[in-house]
Amino acid sequence: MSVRYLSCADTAFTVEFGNEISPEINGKVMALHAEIGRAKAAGSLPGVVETVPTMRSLMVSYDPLATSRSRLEPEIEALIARGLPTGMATRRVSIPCCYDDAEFAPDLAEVAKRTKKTTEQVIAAHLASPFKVYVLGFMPGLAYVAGLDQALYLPRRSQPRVRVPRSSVAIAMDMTTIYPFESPGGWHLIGRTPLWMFDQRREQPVFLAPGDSLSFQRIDRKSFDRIARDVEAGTFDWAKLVRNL
Amino acid sequence: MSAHLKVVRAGLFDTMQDLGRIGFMALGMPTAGAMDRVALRLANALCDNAPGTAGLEIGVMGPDLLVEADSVRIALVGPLSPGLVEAPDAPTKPLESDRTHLLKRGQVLKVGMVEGSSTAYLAVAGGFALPPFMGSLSTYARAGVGGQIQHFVGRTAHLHRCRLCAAGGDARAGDDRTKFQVGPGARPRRVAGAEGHAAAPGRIADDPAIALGPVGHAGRCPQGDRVVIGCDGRFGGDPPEAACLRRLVAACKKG
Repeated sequence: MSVRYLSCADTAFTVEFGNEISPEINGKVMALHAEIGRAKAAGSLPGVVETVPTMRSLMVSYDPLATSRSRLEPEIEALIARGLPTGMATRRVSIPCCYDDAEFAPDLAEVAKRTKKTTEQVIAAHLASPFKVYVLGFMPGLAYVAGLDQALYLPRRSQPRVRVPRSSVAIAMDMTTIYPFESPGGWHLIGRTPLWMFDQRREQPVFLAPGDSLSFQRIDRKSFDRIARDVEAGTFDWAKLVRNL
Repeated sequence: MSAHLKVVRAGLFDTMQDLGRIGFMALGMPTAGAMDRVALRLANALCDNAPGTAGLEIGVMGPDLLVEADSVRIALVGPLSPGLVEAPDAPTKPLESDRTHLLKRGQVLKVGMVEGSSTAYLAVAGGFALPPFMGSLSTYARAGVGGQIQHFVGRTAHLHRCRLCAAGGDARAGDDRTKFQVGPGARPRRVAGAEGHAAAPGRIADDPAIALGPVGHAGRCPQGDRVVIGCDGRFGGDPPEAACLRRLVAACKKG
């Protein structure tokens, strides 16, 4: 599929690389995101305010008083034509998750029933899924994480919840996510992590980044409570969850 | 002695806002920022602040603020009917919106209701001394970022003790020689208590009474206060914004 350019009102346009969730297409999005960032830092592309990567497209937001889509589009075409770098630095991140508490996993039994598995099999499939963070959005720090075991694919709940507790671990379609704040939500809640995906006290308030490989690590309620206390107190050692690849 | 505005009564949904937290959408961080950016810019222009200085965005109903500073120049912009209580037990004196006021220690500013579905802005000369987060003071309520004023009543949160910068206060009060350029399309209006005449659009007004400029959009009363003078709409902004607004209004009328 060729690259498509789509206007988003008068302050942005979208560069669309494809129509599916794939590491290849998302890799192009992230590479262009990084490349435009570098060009901006070097003083090129005046008027570009920021770029926003999604699964399959990059939104380029600009100041319409300084530039325009017609001026920027050829410059971005030229960047793509020169070839985008691949093989970005990535991290392997481990997320502790408690699946064993009815309060944390109110949808686990229903997910098991609808996928014709036992709850233990659902948990095992979630733990074994090769997850990758594709994009952040909706709320600060909320990661759209694809790679869920196909056996667990379900549409979103027909009745969304008004309140999903912070740090709920949820699945829907071919993805998993972790809610950074209490918010409305329609995904199936199958566990909870003691981690906060957003904490304004941290130097990097958002924990996950696009490109991260993610795996969940099963913990019991006692470990959950211990880690939760450290996270709350701001004394938790986040670095031990991350391995740079 | 540090200068504060103390929240003695909260409004309904009043938040600190500047022109937004730009550059973090890739992290899922909403830009937030003032809903009516022209009005915030005007409030800042009246106070001689930089256009992006954070002000208090008033949603539906504003707070009551006790002045704990020798003096502070404030600007209110928007459809408000504010009042001032000059001393304990004194009756509430009505204040005009869309202009500056020099407030003194012990006075209580009652920002009051916003008419219609609009928002209004309170700026203070020198700005609010609050710590920025990701380069901005804008409030994003869900993440607990920025200042929601109703959270500060009776608590020792930062807005409760917000300091006004040293350059604030009444530093500008005696400076009535400032000239403002009158922007194209300006329709100066007379202001109660102001003297003199406005310059023609496109001219520099050295008369301190009334003027309108592409940056300031502000005139001045002899008392040292500044007022917003409407150009082709309720407010003007920077010229491109004003032009943009004019086009929008024209388009709406046509449609």
